[in-house]
Amino acid sequence: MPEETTLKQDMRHGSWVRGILAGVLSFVSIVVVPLALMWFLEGMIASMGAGDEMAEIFNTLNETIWRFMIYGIPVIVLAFLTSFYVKGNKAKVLFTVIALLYSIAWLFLIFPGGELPVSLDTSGFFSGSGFSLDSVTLTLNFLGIMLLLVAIMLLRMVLSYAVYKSNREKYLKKLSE
Amino acid sequence: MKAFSVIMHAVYALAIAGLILFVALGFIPQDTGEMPLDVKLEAESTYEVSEPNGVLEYNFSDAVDTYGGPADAYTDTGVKIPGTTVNPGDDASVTAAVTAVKAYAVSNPEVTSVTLKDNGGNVLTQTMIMKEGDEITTNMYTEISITNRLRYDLIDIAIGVDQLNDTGTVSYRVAESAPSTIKTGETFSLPVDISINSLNSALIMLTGSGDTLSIYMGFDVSGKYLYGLAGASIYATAVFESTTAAPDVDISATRISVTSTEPIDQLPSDLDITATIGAITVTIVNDSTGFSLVMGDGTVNIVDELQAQYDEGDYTIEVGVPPDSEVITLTQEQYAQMLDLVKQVMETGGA
Repeated sequence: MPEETTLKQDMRHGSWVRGILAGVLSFVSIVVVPLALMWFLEGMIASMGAGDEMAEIFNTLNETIWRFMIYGIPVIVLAFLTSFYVKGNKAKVLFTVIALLYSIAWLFLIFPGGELPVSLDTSGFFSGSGFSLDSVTLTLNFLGIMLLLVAIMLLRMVLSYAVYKSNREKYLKKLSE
Repeated sequence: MKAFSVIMHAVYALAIAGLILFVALGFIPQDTGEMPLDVKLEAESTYEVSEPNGVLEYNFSDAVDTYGGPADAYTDTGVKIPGTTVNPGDDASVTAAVTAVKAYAVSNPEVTSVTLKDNGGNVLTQTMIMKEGDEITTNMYTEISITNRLRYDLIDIAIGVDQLNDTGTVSYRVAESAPSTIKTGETFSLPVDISINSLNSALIMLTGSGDTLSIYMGFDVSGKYLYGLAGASIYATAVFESTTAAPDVDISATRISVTSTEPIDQLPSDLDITATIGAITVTIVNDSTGFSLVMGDGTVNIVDELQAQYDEGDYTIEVGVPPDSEVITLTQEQYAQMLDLVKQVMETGGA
């Protein structure tokens, strides 16, 4: 039976390649892709000539995407740390749990209260007749779905511990070689 | 431990796949060739026989004109009432049919309602059914029928309509439906009762900036989906533009006067109300000569008088000029709304 290690000892052993790869992938999905999406949407709305009517929707989407990106920066760092350590390493469990706990907070930072309010300026619609639709405000509430996601993240925490336990012996054996 | 890890992986994968499938299926209709939701605004032409003749005549005429063909009145047990054939655009047939219905109801007291059906036995529909009101309150009824072709029930679907002023700061609910569940694959009709108090309606138009007589409405639709896990609420504001130019408005603590040389298109074209609330007299006229609203005679503080009557729990309004007057009792809510609106009119006018 290989010798047991402490968390401090485990934190010294990791794979830079895996960590950097995970960090870069997270950076692409959390920063690059949303920026490209915003650029694409802006261009599409401008080409449709629907700037004024769609401005409110675009602003809401813009704000949501910015919240996703800014509050997602710690997720990039945590993605590096969780992938830096291999299965069976105590540090991997620790950073996986921290990453999942932060992801729950991140979800609620992106969608405060589980709501997404969208406003649409429709004053240009039906113009010319005696009736006009001034504005439409739509509030989407998906708190229930978010709570289900939280439950799945909690399940993922239990899973990370199960993965750690089932790979611990193999990890220690490799460490002692 | 290995077995536990395998089980946890399976549970985790199932949970994620289940959630994605559950949400995705919720937005794909059962039959992709049809619209996920079908919405109609109409009510079946069924009327209480106790309604006044004028109300029944309006409804009979509206239903038949909308349908574009003749129809007869049937009892709720399916008996065709003789002499009730109504033809589109034929006022004489409308009057005769209502008379026949009333006479039949007298000789058959068990008949409490009648329904208009065409020659094929199909029930006629109307967008808006007029109900009995009083001199200052117009009551209407309609149904919003929604066919749910999505995979899950639509829960707590509620619809409301508000009248707003032009700055959106005053909201007065004129129509409301009770929250209802629409099961998947079913069509459900949400009953919508509409009650418009002409006095409050006119006052709302004066509580905003006062530079328009357009009518502002707010449409409020809310509901839940995915077994209540997600929901949406929509609020749309609409304007029924009035071509009437800005009226002359003169507001003091003892008198409110609003006059325009043109009528307001969105109000009834034969509106002529004289009402007395305590010591305050109100007249509202909207006809071909123009629109006018006068409240108070310049001697009594309007807000103080209305407030005193409210505090006494007296919500009555005497409508008409004695001896042909009628006492109408508003609900506490309607009276409070009127009082609040008058206060806001005073604030707007700087009185």
